[in-house]
Amino acid sequence: MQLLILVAVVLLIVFWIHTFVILYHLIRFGVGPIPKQVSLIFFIGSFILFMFPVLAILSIIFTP
Amino acid sequence: MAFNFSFFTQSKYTFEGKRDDEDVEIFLYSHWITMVIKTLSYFIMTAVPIIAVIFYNNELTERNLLGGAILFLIAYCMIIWSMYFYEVMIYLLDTWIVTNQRIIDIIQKGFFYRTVSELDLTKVQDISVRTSGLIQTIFDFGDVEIQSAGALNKFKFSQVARPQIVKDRIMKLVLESKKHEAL
Repeated sequence: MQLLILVAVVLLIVFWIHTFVILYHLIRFGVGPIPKQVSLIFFIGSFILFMFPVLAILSIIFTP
Repeated sequence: MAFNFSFFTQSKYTFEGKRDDEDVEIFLYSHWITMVIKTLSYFIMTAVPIIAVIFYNNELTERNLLGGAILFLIAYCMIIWSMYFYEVMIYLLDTWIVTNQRIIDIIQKGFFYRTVSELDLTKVQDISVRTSGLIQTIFDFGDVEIQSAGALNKFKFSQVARPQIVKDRIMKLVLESKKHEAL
């Protein structure tokens, strides 16, 4: 079980690195307001998606 | 300290290397229909496994596999989400800018892989428009090719909306620029 949690944590870190790189490109190189709006939507969506596995992992850890 | 979020709604279309006396006249992405096709394919890729889990809900519960299937589904959705926004990023960063002085072609091919080429408006010799196929004709989009004096490669605006209007506006800017240079 611990190995499964470790794999999930590593995958979540990879997910956030990928998210950061996309956000960086959109904000740094985007011209006009649309890339900024898209980056906000992407960030909020990524955070919501991130919460599902986090809650699942927490429920596994704290289940007696 | 006052802070507003106007950068989400307003923009002066500033970009790296923009000159002080330069104004952006035309700013172009590829036509939105090119993104609709990709969006639909990603939507189908997401919807199919979700529908499958809902459809086989009872069987998965009986075999005690529902939890694992949902976890797999979340991971799958996260991958699809990242892949889709990678496509959106490429679409939004692959742009063409026409200012009152030059034409800038920005090509984004991937993460940290970017090519920026520019062409002075006075060097433009010929502009041609190409619309091919039923979809391009119906939705009024196509390629605008700009031939410059002495350049080996043509500047190509791929699949831009209303190419004829874009061509006319660039031609007008080129004439103004040449007139300004002659004075």
